[in-house]
Order: sequence, then structure tokens, then C-alpha cells
Amino acid sequence: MNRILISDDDLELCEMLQEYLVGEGFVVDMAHDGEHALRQLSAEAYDLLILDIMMPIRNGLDVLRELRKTSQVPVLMLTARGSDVDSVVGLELGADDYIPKPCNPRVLVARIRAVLRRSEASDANPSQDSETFGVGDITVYPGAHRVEQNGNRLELTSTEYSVLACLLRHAGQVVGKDQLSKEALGRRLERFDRSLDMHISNLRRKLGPLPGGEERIHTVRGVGYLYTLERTS
Amino acid sequence: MRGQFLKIFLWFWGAMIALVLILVWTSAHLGGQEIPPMLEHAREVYQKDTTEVKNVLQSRGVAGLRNWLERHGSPRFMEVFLLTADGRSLLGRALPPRLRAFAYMPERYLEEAPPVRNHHVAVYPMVLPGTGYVRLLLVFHPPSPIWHILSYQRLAMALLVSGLVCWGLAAYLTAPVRELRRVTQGLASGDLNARAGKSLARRRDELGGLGRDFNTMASRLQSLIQSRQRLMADVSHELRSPLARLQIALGLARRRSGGEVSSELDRIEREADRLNELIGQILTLTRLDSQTALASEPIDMAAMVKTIVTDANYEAQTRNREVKLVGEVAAEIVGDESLLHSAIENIVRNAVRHTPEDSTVEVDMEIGKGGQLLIEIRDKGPGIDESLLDKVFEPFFRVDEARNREAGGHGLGMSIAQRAVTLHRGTISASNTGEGLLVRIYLPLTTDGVPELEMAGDSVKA
Repeated sequence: MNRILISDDDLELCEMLQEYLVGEGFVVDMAHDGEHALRQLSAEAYDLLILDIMMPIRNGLDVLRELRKTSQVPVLMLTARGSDVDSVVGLELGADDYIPKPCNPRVLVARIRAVLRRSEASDANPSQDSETFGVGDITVYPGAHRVEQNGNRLELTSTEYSVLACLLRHAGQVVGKDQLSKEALGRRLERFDRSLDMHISNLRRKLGPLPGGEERIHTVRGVGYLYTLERTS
Repeated sequence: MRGQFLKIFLWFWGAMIALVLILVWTSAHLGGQEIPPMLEHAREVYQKDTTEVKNVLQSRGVAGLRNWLERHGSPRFMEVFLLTADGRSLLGRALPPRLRAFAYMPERYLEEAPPVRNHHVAVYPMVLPGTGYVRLLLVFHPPSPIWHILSYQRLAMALLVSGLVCWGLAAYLTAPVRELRRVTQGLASGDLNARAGKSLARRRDELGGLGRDFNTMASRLQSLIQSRQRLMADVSHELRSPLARLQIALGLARRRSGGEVSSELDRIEREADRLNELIGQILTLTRLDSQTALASEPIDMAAMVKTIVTDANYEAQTRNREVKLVGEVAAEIVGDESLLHSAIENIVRNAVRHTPEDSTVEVDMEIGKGGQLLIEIRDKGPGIDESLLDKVFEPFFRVDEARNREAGGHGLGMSIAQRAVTLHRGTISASNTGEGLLVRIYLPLTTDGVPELEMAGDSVKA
């Protein structure tokens, strides 16, 4: 039973969404403003936060910024359709995925499951490729969902972890956007979807350049991404 | 504008010159009490010549004077007559009638003789050996009044000064008109922030008033248009909340009904999606209307057009229509990829909507005039009435209510396309080919050549 917190100021929407998600087998709590959501998150343990950007008192982006200081709980953002800025900023702040509102509840549930699958993959059932592996100064512990750089643990969201793990498994090769999206985000990439770009840029920021000063993750325009293998001189 | 300037300039200049001439004339003829320098000079010459002529006549007689006059020519400011006692002229020239009185006038009156037409006449009676009594008549011809004050240098000076003054005047009068024209054009081309400059608004004259009125009008226009845009955006935003609830409710209903009314629910869902799409389009359009800056990433246009054609063709075939790419050219454009994509897609979809069954929509790419990328979209539909062609890009434009609604158009796709193309400094136009509608999109290319991957980021900024 996954516990989900919905944070949205539209009460009626929340209630219906709660009913719908309960029907899908989730345990659902509600918060109707940013402050409330943050209080709720620190009081109880949730597997996922559904966060509306447009909220009174503290908007969703504020909540996300505050939350990410202490927690890497998966976050799915509800953004106004057509407002690309919100989604880009949200992903930059460490949201795992976003979905434009209004949305079809079936699509929403699919997204929720995709995000949850990523965060659970490690916690519960160490899968077949769970052996620890390392690329350069980075070590990946798939079992613990953990990444270390020179022995220091990196604070990554579960989506960032999935993207990085996928790139590292194919280090030195170009990973197509579609493949990366399917493996790491658990969904097909829509046209002009900036999610991957944003997760990649977060990773670049958190990892820094290679010891040699070279960029770790190269964008191969129109194709995908490439994790650079350090040249041994 | 130039014509107006020249006209005003010449008019004022001509008026000023005429004014100067009139002033000179009147001062010389009506009030001229003081003697200007030119006249003074003429007097001196006249005095000298008078002495000379008298001397020559006394010492050398009539023949001597005639000789002297032939050699020196007539003195500059003087006419010389020599008369016998009975009034005969001795120097070969007859006395003009207006001076005839001086020939017979008793000597005692001669001193007070009035000037004749402003010409001073001096009469010197004398007795010459051999000839007897004669009267020497000297007529003083002062220089023409205009020359009293005008010389060539002065004339040039006057032309220069009045020319400069009039130039300045004409510029002063036409500059505000130019300024007004500039801001009017700005406003007309959609720059709602266009306002007449401070220099114009500060003027105290009618033109300044016009400038201020114009600014008031522009502000009013701006606030009206902005409030309309805001209203559209607000309404669309507000429509979203109920729509979001509607979709969740629909999901709940679908689950509870257990497939019983699924076709009706499908229908509701389709309409909700359509509403959602329409709201999205309105929001896009209002955003584009107020947008001036643009994301700038290099776009592979050939790949984009190919994707659009493939997708549109896939959709069209379910309705027994076809979309074909008939020409392709490698081209790169810097701009907002998703915006351009939806612009071209909207036009292609529109063409598919209006082309009849079993016909083909043709999409063509080439390098057109001025090295711009030209994308042509041709359908085989009924086209658009010539008189309505320029309205086709207006929001919610419909050619024919019934037909268009049936075809499912809601008239925003073309408007969005136009705004998007304009934001990329391109142009878009529609025309009838006889077979159907032709939409032409011109887009300026980036500087020649497609930059390498690594350089892509730099080339954007350049």
C-alpha cells in the first residue's frame, strides 16, 4: 500500500482524486496549501507527493525547494498546461516528473506508478542487475539506490538516480532519448518534453565535471546523451 | 515627407526674401532720411565730377568737354547737358522734356529748384569765350535704392541666413510629423508600447498637443488590448479548474458504470479533450501576442517538416486523405522549435481538414527569394474567397459556418501559426491556386552552413 499526499488548493478536485486513487489501491491524504503540505510531510512518511504549482500561501515551487533541503521523497508536479516555465523550474528544483493539468486520471495513475516503481526498485526487491558497479570516481549501489562520488554519498532524487544509473551502465555509448526515457522515467517521451534535459542538467550540477575538467554527460543533439569515459593517460 | 519639407522650406524662404525686398523699398521711398553709405559715396563722386566737368568746360570750351566725355565716358552718377541761351543742346543729346524747364528758368529761381523725380539737378550758368552764355545742367543719378543697402556679399549673406532660418523652421515643423508617423507605424505593426517622444510631447503648439493626444490614444488602445488579452487568459485559466474536476469525475463515472455507458463517456471525454485543447490554444495565442523574446536553439527544419508530414499523413489516411512531402531542402533556423513545429503542423492539419476525400495535401520546401526558407502547403479544397484571404489569420476566422464546424475547425491554429512565424521574423501568406488554398511560409535562415554539434551553442549567440 503506497501512501500518497495530494497537495492542491482545489478541495473538490482533491476529494475526487482521493476517491479515484483509493480505488486504484493507494492510501491518500490531502493538504490544501503549501504550509499544510510541508507539516504533513514532516509528520508522516509518504511514498509520493502530488504537488500543484498554483497554491495559496506557499506555491508548489516554494514547497519543493523547502522539501528538497531535507527529503528526496518522489514528487509529481501538476502544472498548468502550456506553462513550460513552471515545469522546467520544478524539474530543476528536483521534481521527479510533471503532468499538465487538467489531465486524464488514467494518465495520472500511470505516471504515479512509473515514479513509484523507480523509487521502489531498490528499496524492496534488489533486481538482477543489483551488483555494485563503478565508473571512474562514481560508484553505484543499485541495492541501496545509492551513488557515491569518491566515497561521498550524492543526494539524488530517485529519478535522477535512475537516469544516472542508466547512463553509467552504458558509459561510453550514446543512450537514445527514447531508451533513456523508457528505462529511467518509465514512460515514452513526448515531443518537446524537457524532463530528461532537466534531470540531466541537475545531474551535471551535482556531479561536477570529470577530474580532467571535461563534461561528464554530453548532449548528442537530436540523438541522446553520452556519459564520457575518462581518458586514462 | 520630403516633399512637404521642401515645400515648406521654399515657401518660407521665398516669403522671407520678398519681405526683405519690400522692407528695403519702403524704407528707401517713404522714410529714408538718413543717407546710407552707398548714397554718400555716390555724392562724393558726383561732387568730384562736377568740379572736373566745370574745369574742363571753362578751360577747354565746348569741344574740349565733348572730347573729355568721349574719352572718359559719362560719369557714373551724373548726366551732363549743355544748353545755349535759347535752349539748344550743345552736346548732341536733346534735353528730356522733364528737364526742359531748367533751360528757361530765370537764374534767381535755380537755387531753389525742386528735385525732379528724386534726381537733383544743378544748373551752372557761365559765359564761354567764343560761345557766349551757356547753361551747364548736371543731373545727379543716385544709385537705385536697393543698392543703398544691398551688395553682392550682403545678398549672399541674406540668402544664407534666411536659408538657414527657413531650413530650421521647416525641420522644426516636419520633425514632429515624422515622429508621429514613426510611432503610428510602430503602433500599427503591433508595438503597443510605441509612444511619441518627449521632445514632441513637450511642445506647446498644436503639434505637441497632437503628440500628447496620440500618446493618450495609444495608452488607451494598449490598455484595451491588454485587458482583452488578460480577459481571454483569465477566462481560459478559470475554465481549467472545472475541466480538471470534470476529467476526474469522468474517470470515477467510468469506473462505476462498469462499461455500461462507455460510448457516451467516450464522447464526453472527447469533448473535454477538445475543450482542453481549445483553452490551450487560446492561452498560447495570448502568450504569443505579448511575447517579443524567443527561445533560440538551432532547428533542423527538414527533419521537423518530415516529422510533421509523416504524422499528419498517418492521421489523414484514416480519413482517406494523403499528405506528401514533394520537395526537401536542408535548412537550419534558430528559434523556438516547439512553436515553429506547432505553427507548421497547424497549417498542415488545416489543409487536411479542407482537402476533399482521396486528394493529396502537398508540402514543399525550398530556398526562396532572398535566401529565405520557403515552405508551401497546398490543398485541393475550395480555397477562400479572395476578399477574405487577409482575414484567414485572424482568431476564430471561419469561411463558412456550417462546413467549417463540421470539419471541426475552431480557427485558432492559423492565428497561432502567424504569430509564431512573425516571431521568427518570417512572413506567412495565403492565396488561391485555382485548385485549392496555398499557404506560403518564409523564414529567414541562419548564416550559411549547419554548425557542428559542439559549436551549436555558440552559433546561437552569434
